[in-house]
Amino acid sequence: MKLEIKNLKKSFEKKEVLKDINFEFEEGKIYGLLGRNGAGKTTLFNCLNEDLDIDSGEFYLVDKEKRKIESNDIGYVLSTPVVPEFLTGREFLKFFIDINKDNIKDLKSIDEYFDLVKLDKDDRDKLMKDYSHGMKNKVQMLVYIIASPKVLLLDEPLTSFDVVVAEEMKELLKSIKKDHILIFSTHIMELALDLCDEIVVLNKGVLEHVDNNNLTNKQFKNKIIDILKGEEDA
Amino acid sequence: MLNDFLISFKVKNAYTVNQIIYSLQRFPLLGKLIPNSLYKMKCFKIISIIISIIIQIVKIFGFKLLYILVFLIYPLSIYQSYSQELIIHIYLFLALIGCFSNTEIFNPTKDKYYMIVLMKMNAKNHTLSNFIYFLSSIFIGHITAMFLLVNNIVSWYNIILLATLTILLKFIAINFYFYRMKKSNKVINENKPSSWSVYFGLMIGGLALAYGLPYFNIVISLPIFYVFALIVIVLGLLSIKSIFSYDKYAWLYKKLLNKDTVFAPQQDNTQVIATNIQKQISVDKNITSDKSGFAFFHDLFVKRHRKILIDSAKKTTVVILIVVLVVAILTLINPQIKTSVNSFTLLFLPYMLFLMYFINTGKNITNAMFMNCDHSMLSYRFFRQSKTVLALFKERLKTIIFINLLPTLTLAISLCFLLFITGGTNNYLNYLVIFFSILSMSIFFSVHNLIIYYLLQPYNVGMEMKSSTYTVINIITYWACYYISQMKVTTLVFGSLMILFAVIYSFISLFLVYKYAPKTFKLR
Ligand SMILES: Nc1ncnc2c1ncn2[C@@H]1O[C@H](COP(=O)(O)OP(=O)(O)O)[C@@H](O)[C@H]1O
Ligand SMILES: [Mg+2]
Repeated sequence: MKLEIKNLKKSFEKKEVLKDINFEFEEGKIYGLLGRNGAGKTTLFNCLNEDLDIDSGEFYLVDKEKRKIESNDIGYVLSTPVVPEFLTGREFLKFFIDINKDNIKDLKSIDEYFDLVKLDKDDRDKLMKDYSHGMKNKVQMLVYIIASPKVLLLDEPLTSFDVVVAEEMKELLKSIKKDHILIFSTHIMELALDLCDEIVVLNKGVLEHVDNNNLTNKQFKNKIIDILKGEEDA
Repeated sequence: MLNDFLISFKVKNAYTVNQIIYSLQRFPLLGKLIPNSLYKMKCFKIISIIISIIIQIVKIFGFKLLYILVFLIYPLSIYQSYSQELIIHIYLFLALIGCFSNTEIFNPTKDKYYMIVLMKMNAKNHTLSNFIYFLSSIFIGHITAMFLLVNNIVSWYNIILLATLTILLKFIAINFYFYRMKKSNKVINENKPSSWSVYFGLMIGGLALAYGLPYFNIVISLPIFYVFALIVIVLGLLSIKSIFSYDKYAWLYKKLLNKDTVFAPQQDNTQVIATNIQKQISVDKNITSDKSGFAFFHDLFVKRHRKILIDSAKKTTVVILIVVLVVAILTLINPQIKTSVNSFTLLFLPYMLFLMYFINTGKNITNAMFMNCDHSMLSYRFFRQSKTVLALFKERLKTIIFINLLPTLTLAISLCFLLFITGGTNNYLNYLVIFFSILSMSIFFSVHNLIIYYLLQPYNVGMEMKSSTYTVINIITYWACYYISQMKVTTLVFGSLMILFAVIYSFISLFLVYKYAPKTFKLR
């Protein structure tokens, strides 16, 4: 399975945010999408999730043949997590499982899912309006772990977790990467290097793969910084 | 100083223009035609300067004219007396109220915030130049309006004297405020009095003196007026000096102008409503639901928002019951009331439309739905799938209609009941028509509120109302109801048409929702 993006363009008025995006994301890998603030990472995700209409180009999944991305194929964890505040975490998961029953493989119990992201027992039956940022983020992530969509987009997700939870989340992501295409945006390079199998840089509206063949960690870092910085001057 | 004034006029102009473009762009269809480059265009700037000047002229002449008409001429026509003393009497008390509640100097405006805080203009120069403009516009506006409207009653020198006093009174009031600030060391904000009860007490007292005393034939006589004028002139002239020499304007505005005081009224609307609605979520641990899927989700939403959703409908019902009871008792006591209530019930149906417009809680419900539910849920892709949107729409429609049914049925039965106990009607069909047309009105408003929410989804991610179409449709609905309620037709005709209309409207709108809502129901 592959996620292919071809000649994707998106501008706001005259400002070309995404100029010409071409890329193939492959199954079983975690991609780190690096880009400076305002580079267009969130915009790219919004386009892929069809929150925004694109100006031109196309993106699709290639299974055996090319097919359109359906709602169940994609999950998108927003950088500021949003959850229905009038429900408890447990109720939200129950609702989600109820309506997606047919699409969920090897369904577990709700508590097993909560254990997976290590959400405190006491918090599970609290209204989510009293959840912290990180707790909301966990719930949002959990929803997509349950649905297990082919493509999972994570917009700067680990920024809101404390070190311990961030570490747990990294393990979690690594454990689900088989059978999935995980794309993980961040402006923090260390995080990307630490977690991801492949690094792609979004700069000046184009997406560029950074090959780390035969490079030491140090050299690789410098190469990325050069790309981020160099084209800025050009 | 003239220079200061011109700069601030230009800046003010610039952001009014930007605001005009911004709101035009948010207009349906037309908005798409307006590019961002308009912000930079020269000719548009010039057009907008002309518009700004026209607005200023309307403000100077039009508003003052309206002011004199509404607050002076209209009350005079009620008193049926047009004496010079009466006009002077009312005018003076209004000027007294105005001088303390509208000083311009103590008004934290956006203009001042932009100019003094953001653009670092000299506080004193900016304030005084705009203050002079403010006073001149009052002076010219009032004199023009008075000459046009009461020239034949009030002599020309008294008109000029009155306008002069208005201005001098403002100087005195400001001087008084300066004095109070020095004493208490607290900054005065004319829009946020330290005590609202004192503020309203003085306002109402002033208004009572202005309009109440003449009722008892007590008005300020001309000699007293001249003595009063003399005192005001002396005090006013003394105050002018201290206002122009006051040197702490910078300090004053540093304290007075902050985001809370300047932008509070606008923020209130979205932010405070949002947090208020959030607070309304019931934390009762016992609330659960044994349903599943969408029904479960919606059930919990309704139960946890009981307070805002159901309680207001209950309150309305109680009020209706009390009113009906009182009317019923009155008809039993007084036969004259009885006959008039009888004919009234048969003519009341058009007004009912207007009443139902206000009773219907659909808009509050959709509001709560957005703030506490859809705002977050719409970012989940599964929530935007057509089958989800439509399944939830169905649940919600049922709930809105159901919640509104309680006051509606009460009202419908009450009206039939009143008709019955006041002597009934020859045509029994009237009962049926009254009952079903009120029912259909309620269903109409429920459907209407929900479908425009689904088809136009007017909020953006920041929970601000962004769709001008939505606003326009709401205004049209209001006026349509108002005009229809003015119609004089028989119950039978009106009621039947209403039922027919509601049925057709509901079918068409349900069709539209099923066809378009999956596309339109998303975050703006
Ligand atoms: N709705 C929008 N309208 C206009 N400009 C936008 C909009 N959304 C994003 N942008 C612009 O697009 C650029 C990329 O933004 P974003 O995708 O949020 O960057 P990132 O997530 O990489 O920090 C920014 O310059 C931003 O100003
Ligand atoms: Mg971003």
